Formats: sequence, structure tokens, C-alpha cells
Amino acid sequence: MTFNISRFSNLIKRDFIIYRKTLIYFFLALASYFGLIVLLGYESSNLNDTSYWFSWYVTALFPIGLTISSLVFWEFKSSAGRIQYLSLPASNLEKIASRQLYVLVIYPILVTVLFAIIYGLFKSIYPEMGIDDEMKMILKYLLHAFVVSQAFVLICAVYFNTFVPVKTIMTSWALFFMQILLTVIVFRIVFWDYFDGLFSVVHVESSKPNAEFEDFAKNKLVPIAEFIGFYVLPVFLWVIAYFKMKEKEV
Amino acid sequence: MITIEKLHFSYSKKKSLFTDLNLELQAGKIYGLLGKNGTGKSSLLKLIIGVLFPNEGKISIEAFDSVDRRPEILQDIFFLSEDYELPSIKIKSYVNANKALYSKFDEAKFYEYLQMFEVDVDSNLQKLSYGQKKKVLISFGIATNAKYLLLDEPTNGLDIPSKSQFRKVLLAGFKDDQIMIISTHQIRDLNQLIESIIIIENGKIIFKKDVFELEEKLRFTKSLSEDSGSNTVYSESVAGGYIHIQPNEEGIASEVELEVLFNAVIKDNDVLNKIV
Repeated sequence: MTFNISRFSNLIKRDFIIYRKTLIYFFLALASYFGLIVLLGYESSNLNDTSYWFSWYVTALFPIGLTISSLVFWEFKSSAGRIQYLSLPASNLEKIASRQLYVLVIYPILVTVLFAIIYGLFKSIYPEMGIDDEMKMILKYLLHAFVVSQAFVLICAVYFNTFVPVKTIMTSWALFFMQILLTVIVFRIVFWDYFDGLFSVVHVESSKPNAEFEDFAKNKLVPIAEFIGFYVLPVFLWVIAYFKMKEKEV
Repeated sequence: MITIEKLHFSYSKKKSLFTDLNLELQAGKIYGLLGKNGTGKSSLLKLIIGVLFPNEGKISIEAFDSVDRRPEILQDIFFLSEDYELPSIKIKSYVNANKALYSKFDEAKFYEYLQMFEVDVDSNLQKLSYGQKKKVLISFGIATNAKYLLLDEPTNGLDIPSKSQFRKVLLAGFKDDQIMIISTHQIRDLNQLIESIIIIENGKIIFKKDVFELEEKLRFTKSLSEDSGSNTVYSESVAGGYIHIQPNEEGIASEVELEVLFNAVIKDNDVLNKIV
């Protein structure tokens, strides 16, 4: 695994020159998106509603941001494109990192800054607007969720060649259902005594955790789960994406 | 140097493309990689550059495994594939985008080669014809001064004057420390260019000889009749008569007819291998 800052910056420069037009069109599309939000907000008299802006921010970050992430290795759609990109003189890590810079760093920052500007603008018009603590907490979780989702999408972007957004959604759903199934099975095995048959639940009234466990869960389990989910999981997924790139063939 | 040891490769479990293939390529030579359709010429080039992985065996470039795709090796490799995609940007922008990735890239030489190919440097790549795009890529590839130039069907899509320009550009840019592998069906286009011939058949290298060696040991003669003597190992009808391959017992040098040689090897490589 090698990383050379000069090659990395050359890759970024290369991508910028080659996809300059695409980036300009994308920026114009993003500007139109913001224009549309303002227009819709004006029509529905929601311009002074913080949650209205918040929901559009989430839309820009997740469905749009993740779709762009899934298309980040656009060259892979054809055999010729794969040959050309994979044989570029840069390491697999540099190739992944240079594209991640656009979708994991620049895009979220750009969207956040644009929303912050628009929010600030409308807050000056409607002083009653404001972000409460709950919204701040949701925002924090959303940003972490974006990083994790984006890391998963990165694996799909490297692995799949064609129809990547569709295949990514299908894979996500398949994994989601598998995870639900697995959780249910594990839960039923762990709490065997509380179940009778496949669906019926017994002794529900006695299944309330005691105060000691609640305290342990709040102070230990939740922070550990958050650490794993927020920091370990994305790194783990990035490592998988790196190996997928290393194993990538035409 | 490129070394291929005990290479096994297949796209499916049912049929192997290469079985126990061994090959060593030395610097300073232009190799012609020949074979019938589907024998794996393009796949072999892709395996060498590391965009396909062997099932077994090893391909080493300067002692490094090709599957590692090490950047320091990749910057010394230029692969021109038969199909390629070029962005919708001007040639100058394309060069600006890619030149920094190849440390030995010679921009002046690139424009010189483009001029030899008569391609307008202000053109947008997307607006060029297939052949013109190929000329840009060939020029770029040679200007990278990469040690390993791998060209897959480079003359496909080139018109007759361009084929001659292609030979000139290649010879102008080729250096003694380089290895050039040209995979082609159009042997005649490269008759005076190729220095060593590699023929693949049934997943193996069945013939690998230098052209000077062939000139020394084989004699290619033309006659009007099919019968040319008892020592003829192969005859083929061509326009206006026949070409025969015979052992060069008299020591008279004759130009190697690659197409005839290829057909002879495919028909019976043992006879030719014994002579050469």
C-alpha cells in the first residue's frame, strides 16, 4: 500500500481537467436544486420553517450525495475505461482517495456551506427560525450515517461496473433484510425464555431491564456502539473498498 | 525485462486460455505477438499490465509482480488497447491532465509525433475519427518514454498513409532500453518493424524467434509453380504465384514474409522449429 502526495495531487488535477465540464454542469444542477427549494418553500409558505430546510439538506446529502458516490468510478462501465483507469500510474489507495476527496469531502462541504448561506439569509429575514438541540443531535447522527453509507457505497462503486446505483440499492436492501433476520434470530436465541413459538411473546411484563442494566447500557454500551458505528465501521468498509480496488480486473 | 512463468489463465472453469505458458522478453526489441482469433493475445497483454490476474503462475516486470500494479512500474508501461475511451476535451488538455503521471513524458516529442501523424493539436478528442484518436494515443504512449510499450492491434483503423506514418513514429521513438510488444492480425503492416516473433496457439507459445535468425536459417522464395523442390517445408499461393519456405542452405538472405511464416507455423510448427 503506497501513498505519494504528488501522484495523489496529479490524479486530482487529472480528474478536474477531464471532468471539468461535468463538474460545471453538476454545480449548475445543484444551484437549480437550491432555486427549486426556495420556489417550493415560497409556494408552500415554508421559507421560515427550519425543518423544511433541514429535510432538503438531508435529501441533498443522502439520495443525491450517495448516487454521486456510486458513480464515482464512472470509467468502470466499460472494459476500455477499466483498462485505462486501472493502468494509470498511481497506487490503488491514491486512486480511491482522489475520488473520495470529491464525494466524501468536497461534496458534503459544498452542500453544507450552500445550505448554511441560504439558511443564514432566510434567518435574517425570519428571525424566529432556529436550530434546536434535538436538530443538532440529529444532524450529528446524520453526518455519521452519511460517512458510513458512503463507505458502503464506495465498495459497490468499486465492485460493480454497470448500473451501479441500482445494484447498490438492491444490495443495500438485501443486506438490510439479512441483518433484520439475523438480529431476530440472535435476539430469539438470547432471550429464548421470553418467546413461545415463532411470533407469540410471553412474559413481556417481566422483560423490563433492571436499573443497573439500563445504566450500563446508557454509559457503556451506547458509547461503544457509537464508536464502532461512527469510526470503526467506516474504516472497516474503506479497507474492504481498498482491497476490492486491489482485486479489480477488467 | 518481462518474465512469464508457468502462467495458467482462464475466463471460465471449462476452458483454459493459457496453460503453463512461459515467456521472457528482453529490452531493445520489438516483439510481434501473433495468433489466431481468440488465442488470447489481448488477454496476455492485459495480464502483463496487471489488469487481469493469472489463475496460477507469475508475471514479473523488473522483478515486481504485475498483479501489484505498482505505480513506479505502471509509469513505465503504456498500453494501447484495441478499444479505448477518450474524454471530450482538447488534445492539449488531455496532455495537461495526464503528463504529470508519467515522469519521463516528453511534451515536445508528443507534438512532434502528432505533426508526423498530421493531427491538428487544437482538436477536441471526441470529434476525432477512430484512427485519429488512435494516433493521439500512440503519440502519447511513445512520448511517455515508458520502458514497456504494449500495443494491441495498433494499425486497426489507420488508413494506408497512416500505417507508414505509424512505422516512422514508432521507429523514431523506440530506444534500446525499451520493450515493445505489438499484438496484431495485420502482419503485413508491421513486416519491417518486428524484430522478434511470438506465436500463440492452444494456450502456449509455439514459436518464438528473432527475425534475423529466421533470415539466416530460412529462405523465402517466389515462383509461378507450386512445385519448388524437395526441401520446401511450406508453400502458399499468393497473387501471381507461390511463396515457398525452405531451409537457407545457400546462405542467401531473403526478407521474412511474416504472414506466410505465421501460416506455416500454425500448420506445422515442429518442422520450422527444427530448422530454426
